[in-house]
Amino acid sequence: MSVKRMTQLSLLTAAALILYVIELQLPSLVPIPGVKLGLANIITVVAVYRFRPYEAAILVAVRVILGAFFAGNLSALLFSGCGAALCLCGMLLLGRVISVKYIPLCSVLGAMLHNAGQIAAAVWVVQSTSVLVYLPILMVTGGIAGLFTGLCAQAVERRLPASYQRKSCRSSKKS
Amino acid sequence: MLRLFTGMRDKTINTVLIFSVAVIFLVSLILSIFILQPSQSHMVEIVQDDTVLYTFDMDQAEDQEFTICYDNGSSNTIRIQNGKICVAGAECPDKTCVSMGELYSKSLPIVCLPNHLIIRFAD
Repeated sequence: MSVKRMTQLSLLTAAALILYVIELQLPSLVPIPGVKLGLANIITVVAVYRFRPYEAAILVAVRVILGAFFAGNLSALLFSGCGAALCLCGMLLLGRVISVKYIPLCSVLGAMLHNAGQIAAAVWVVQSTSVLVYLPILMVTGGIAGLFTGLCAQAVERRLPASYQRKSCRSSKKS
Repeated sequence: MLRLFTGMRDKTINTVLIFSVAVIFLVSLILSIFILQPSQSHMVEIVQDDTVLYTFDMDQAEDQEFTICYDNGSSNTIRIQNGKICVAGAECPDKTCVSMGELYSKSLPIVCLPNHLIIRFAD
């Protein structure tokens, strides 16, 4: 990874963390755990479209770990980690089939996968399927939030300089 | 790996995805409305790791506040007021259970994940 590339990634990671910290200050509208706007996801979606998969993965991993430190809530790391991992994997695949024009669609699906991952982690921690009732509620709120962050991501993606572009599309030709 | 998809036209994929998102959204919305129905039950139980710690009849329970302490030094303070139960305070870092407010739906228990504590309506 070139220095330039690393700097671009760091800049986006910093932006994601700022969004994350801002979001922590917003009061939650619904008293249901897991319901949030996911502003930091804007950067993830952009990274999926503009960076290579492993670069996007590094960005998300650093954001999730540092974000947990900023929030002072390491116990939530497992949930946000599982959510973010599933969301990233899903969006990396979807990013290949969904064109840049339909970024919000990718973001909505990513948000839903994020919530599904969180619920899966919660089921594992609590050792009980009772937390599954949150799934429909989180799917609805996640869908709405994902649409919003997706529209934001589209606006950001359009304005991001062309230098923030993956150099070679390594997949489609060789495999 | 995604050769399979490249044969399909972009439009078809998008239509399929938009359609599935819409279906998931609508199904979840209907389920959510059912889940958020207030409960008719009066019995509330406080459970930790499948062990029932306390049971209360909400119609008869007097207003009170008590603290459940755990071996690891963590604790939850439960408050019962006017026939409603809520977590008034918690030692856990995220305080999700406190922000969830009063228990109102059978299918939506108050859960304190760090302490594995569940407050729910009993059958």
